[in-house]
Amino acid sequence: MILDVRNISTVFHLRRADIHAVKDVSFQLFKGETLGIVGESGSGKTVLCQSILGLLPKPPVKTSGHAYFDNTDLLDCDSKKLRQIRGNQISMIFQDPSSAFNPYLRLSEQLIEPLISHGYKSRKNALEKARIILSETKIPQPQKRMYQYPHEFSGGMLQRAMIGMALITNPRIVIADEPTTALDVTVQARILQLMKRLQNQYSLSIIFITHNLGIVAGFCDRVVVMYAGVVLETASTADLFNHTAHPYTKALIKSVPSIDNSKDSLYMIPGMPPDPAARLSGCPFEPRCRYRTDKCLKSENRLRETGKNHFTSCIRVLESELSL
Amino acid sequence: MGKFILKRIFLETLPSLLVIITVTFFLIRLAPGGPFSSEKQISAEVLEQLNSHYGMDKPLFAQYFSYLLNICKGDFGPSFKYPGRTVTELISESFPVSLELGLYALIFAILTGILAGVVAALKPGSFMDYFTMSVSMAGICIPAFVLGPLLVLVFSLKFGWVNVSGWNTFSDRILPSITLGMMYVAYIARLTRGGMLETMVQDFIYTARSKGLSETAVIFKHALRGALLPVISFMGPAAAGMISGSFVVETIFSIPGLGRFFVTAAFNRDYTMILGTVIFYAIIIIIFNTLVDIIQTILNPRLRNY
Amino acid sequence: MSEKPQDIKAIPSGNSLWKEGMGRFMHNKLAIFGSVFLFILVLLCVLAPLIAPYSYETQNLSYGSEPPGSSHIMGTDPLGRDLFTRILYGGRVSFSVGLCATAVSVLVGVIWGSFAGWFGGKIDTIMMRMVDIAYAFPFTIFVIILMVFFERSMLLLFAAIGAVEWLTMARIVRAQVMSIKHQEFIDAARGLGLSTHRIIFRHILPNITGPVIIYSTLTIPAVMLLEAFLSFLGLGVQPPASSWGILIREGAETMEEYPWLLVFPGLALSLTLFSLNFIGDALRDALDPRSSRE
Repeated sequence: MILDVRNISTVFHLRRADIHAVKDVSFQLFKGETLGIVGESGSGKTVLCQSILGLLPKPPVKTSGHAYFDNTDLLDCDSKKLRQIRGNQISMIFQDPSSAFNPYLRLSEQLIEPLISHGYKSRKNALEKARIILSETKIPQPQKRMYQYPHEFSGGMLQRAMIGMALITNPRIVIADEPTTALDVTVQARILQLMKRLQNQYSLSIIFITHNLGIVAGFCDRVVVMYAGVVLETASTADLFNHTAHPYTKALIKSVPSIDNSKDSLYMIPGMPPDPAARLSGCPFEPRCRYRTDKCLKSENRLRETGKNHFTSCIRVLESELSL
Repeated sequence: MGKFILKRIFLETLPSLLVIITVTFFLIRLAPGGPFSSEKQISAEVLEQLNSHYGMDKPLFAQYFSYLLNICKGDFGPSFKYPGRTVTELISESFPVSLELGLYALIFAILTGILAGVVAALKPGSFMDYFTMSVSMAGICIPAFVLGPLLVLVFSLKFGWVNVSGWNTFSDRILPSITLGMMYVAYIARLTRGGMLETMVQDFIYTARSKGLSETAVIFKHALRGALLPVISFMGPAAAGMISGSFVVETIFSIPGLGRFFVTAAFNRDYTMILGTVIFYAIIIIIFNTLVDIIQTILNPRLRNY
Repeated sequence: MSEKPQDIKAIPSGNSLWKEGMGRFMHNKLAIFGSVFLFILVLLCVLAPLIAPYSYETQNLSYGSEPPGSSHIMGTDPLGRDLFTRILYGGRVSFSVGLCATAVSVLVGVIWGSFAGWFGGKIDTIMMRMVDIAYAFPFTIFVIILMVFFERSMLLLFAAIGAVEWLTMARIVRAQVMSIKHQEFIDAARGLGLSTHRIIFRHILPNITGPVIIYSTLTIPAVMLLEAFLSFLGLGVQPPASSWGILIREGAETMEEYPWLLVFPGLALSLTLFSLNFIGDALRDALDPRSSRE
């Protein structure tokens, strides 16, 4: 186990209301595996990862819980220590490469920053490393391209560069926040291929945030399903698809368009995701769930094992009233 | 870059200058009174002599064209008020003083303004924010002709730390520079704050933090560059204004700069001196605006594909 | 997502933007303070002939240069004139110059800018080119020349200052008109067969009032500053009329002996500028949601 997240809750104290974006989430990440975090927008998956790395502005945001990385609790260490880990041991890849790079600085300058800020002394060696990593991400003519500015690259090329930037310090964990959402479908596949190859080469653990179940199926070893700030189900990818144990997961899988059901109308989960400002008791998916009973309102919404390494919070599945 | 500057000169600078010269020329010539009207005991004969000496007996349009022709040769003509001296001489004597004062004021304004703006933007809505912005608002609301005398009152007359006026020692430079720079401090601080607030919420700031950069590096390396773009476009006219000399500051502190010369020239209807200074000022403004465009292109690589 | 009937309530009515803006304005304490201060000061100035404790020109050399005290709350000048009275009368001039010159600049700027923006194309290019050229004009110099060479009258002062300040207004209005012109509701109005001047007056002008009001509030202090500056140089209002600029100039001459003659007029001008700027900033934050982050 490389990262052990325990009972993280994140609250935004805003003027209007307190927003509970993440509620009591726990998960583990193992060496070399790819963990998918799946959920609709607003389900708290991005905030969860930001909380782990301490990237949220402190005054309005309060995070509680633990995230153990190498016996260090990331949520309980000073900002200097955290900075040494950030970008060095754990790095991030973002959704929109065109806005995630500073438009005013050359790519080379931004690529070597993780090295320089973690005590790398020689600029020349850092630049050489940057060139090597760019060629590994299959950017043509890296020697020339790295001295260009971000606006001179296409989105796909920039995303390759960002992957290179994340890997340049040889990190142990990469958190990828919807890294392919802003890209064309054909480019998406190539970026995923690239990540897979580099993962093996650098023996990385990857946390892959996405709303796309198709990508999860092809790319992730294990999956955490989030909804309204809580985890509803965690399982290996195969179990998640073959032995689905939560009605929400089932609904998500059903709403992926596929050739088989395209003749019928596309499946839509009825209703809307809940207002994050409202704090509900019981299962958060209850209002939209077609299998709901009065019991669901009173359930304490805790993950329990339903199969080997397969956890769900659905009380009806757990009590074997329901099989999906 | 060369093509850009050439285009600038021929399509923008020269037409602007021509309009400015023409308007000023006819404005001052068509107004009642003349350079010699204030001297009372002057006979009609002498007046006629003077007029023909300065070529003022010719038709106005002829004078206009010969003036334009002379300017092209770099000749701004003789001064009416200071006999035997040319306008070029007078400007080249007084401008360095204004330039020096302007540069000090500029440095003071840029350093203080940017620092204040950054500090205020770091915690918007905090006490520091309100404090810095109120002080910088004071720079806008307490005009130089109030601030200058007040500074003299306190630091020269009361404490006796610096001279009341003059332009001899280094300490003579302090009060005028602060007086002249204060207004610009205010504007720069406000623009910097606005730019910083806008930049600090961009995605790339977030990326920089995720790379483990210190907050200082995030602010000064990543945020400030973009945040300063609006400041720089403001700096064009502002720097031109500071360097070309402020009439008020030069008057208050008795500094022999271009601004004071201009006011004297205007009061004396020294035609050539007025025209010469106006053209000189206009050129300075244009030069600074061009400089600003160049600096912006350097700072913002996205502008380079013109 | 299906549209539910209750969604209709969420659509803002025409007034709500203004109402909401005013609500935000009322939350800004500095702006409220500024408005109250300004209201009282303007009222005092307007009522000066009725309430001023002394006549504004009466000289009384035996009471010359008195420091602030019970009979003269702000002291007297070397000629024995009551400073408080003179500040009130000077304020009448300063405020009227501020308002009239701003009115001139608003009028010229709005007409110029909306014409350029509405017609677009060549007309727009030529009109805005002229504004660009005017921007390169050293304006303080221009005003100084005007004031030196022509008979100094209040009218000329209004015209001169107004002529300086209209440029930015023209640019703002043009940009606003351009952006509104291409919005769909204008096409719709055209499609309904509305006449051009009806479109301009019913649809375009109401939509540019926000920015115009905001910028006008910020123009008034700029104009008052320019007037004071000209008066300070001896080029503005002519004695025996008086403005704050003249009082400051007189005060600066004798500040070593009688500092109150500089401090009080300076305070009057600065506090007024503070108030106007606070109000202008608050209005911008309140009415222009895009700039409210700044």
